Amino acid sequence: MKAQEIETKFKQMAAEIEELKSRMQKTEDIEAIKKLHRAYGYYLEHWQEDEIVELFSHNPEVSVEINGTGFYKGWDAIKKSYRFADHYTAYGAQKPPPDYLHILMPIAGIIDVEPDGKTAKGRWYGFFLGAMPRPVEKRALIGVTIWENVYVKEDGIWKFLKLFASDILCSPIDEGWIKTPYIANTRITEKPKEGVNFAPYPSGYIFPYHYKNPVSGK
Amino acid sequence: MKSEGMAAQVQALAETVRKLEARVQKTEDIEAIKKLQRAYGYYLEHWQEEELVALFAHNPEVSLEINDGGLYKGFEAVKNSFNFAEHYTAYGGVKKAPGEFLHILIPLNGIVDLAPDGKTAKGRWYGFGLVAQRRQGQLRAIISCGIWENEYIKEDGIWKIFKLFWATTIASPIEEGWVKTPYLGNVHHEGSPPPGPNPDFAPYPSGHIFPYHYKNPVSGK
Repeated sequence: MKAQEIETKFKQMAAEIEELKSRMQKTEDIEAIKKLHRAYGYYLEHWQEDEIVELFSHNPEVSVEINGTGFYKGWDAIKKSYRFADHYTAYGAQKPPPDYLHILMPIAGIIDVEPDGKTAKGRWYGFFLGAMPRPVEKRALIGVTIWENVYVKEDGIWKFLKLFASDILCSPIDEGWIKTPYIANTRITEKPKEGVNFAPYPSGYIFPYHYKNPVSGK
Repeated sequence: MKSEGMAAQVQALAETVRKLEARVQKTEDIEAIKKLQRAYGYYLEHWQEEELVALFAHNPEVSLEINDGGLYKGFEAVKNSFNFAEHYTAYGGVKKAPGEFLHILIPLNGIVDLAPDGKTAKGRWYGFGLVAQRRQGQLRAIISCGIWENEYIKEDGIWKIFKLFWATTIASPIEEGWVKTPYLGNVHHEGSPPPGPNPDFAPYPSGHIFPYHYKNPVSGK
């Protein structure tokens, strides 16, 4: 191989390595976002509010929207929205008692990183097994929610930028979702914003997808 | 460094880059297939038949088999099998799923293995279901679980469903549970191919172990 050929080959390899780095980065980003969202799920089980709010960006655009029960914008509003004492007034306590249970497993996550690698979108199912007063009497609950979220990368760390959850079902396990499709959320604080996408079973509502059909591209 | 040594090093680096590219490709392929299967799951919720059908390959070998409901071979047969009006006759021939119809079937625990040539892949998944359907004239809340063992194919850089096989393990009214009522029965498509027998469709309490497409990941056996 001549010196000229070696130089050409080096340049070619440098370009290939750059491309591989960006592809590896995307793969790592997807995994980091999945870890973030799954971590959120584990913290929900016993409503670890301090851990939960840490997962959110301090960006002024940060927001949380849970069903039709409120739209919280800004980190301080989000922090307040997760306060157990305000959220679950039936307990009259700062922390959840042992008989409180809020298992909400994030599953089937579809994560798409934007081309600039700075934000990403994700759709998940949340499978819910809960034990909590609804509204007063403690109930064993089974449910499903949909998340469509936006994540942001700040200083190399992925965080929640916009969390949006919309419940499909939340039923007492002994009644099922034909008899009792939805027992309302206990959170009654701020008014929902206009046009909120919340329409549990049996509405037939299809929560919009952030992605196109992965085969047809439409 | 002499140019001969340099040339050898360049060759070795080029080989490393090539191998890394193949590894990155494999990781991307697995994630793309997982997205495909999960997208299929979300479209099932309200039976979005056009979106579902679009996920299948236009390959003469493409197929779909659901329990003992018969083997649908070829894209047109697969497409017909998703026709809501024909599949769910209990709804009186309506073209779209009504609000009371719910078919949440969440793909989870996916194990995806690529063929060495990177052109096809196999995947095993659990499907966890929370369903509301008419059965024998009555709207039922059904909790279910089953197994997918699927094959996927990459065509023009896009992963598609090649062979889909689903076998229900349990499908029970939520208020009865799977000991009292393990399996509520299938909804058969009108004019479907002759049903089974399908040895891998054997719901609880058969004890049947649906064959794995992969070997034990530790013993390799």
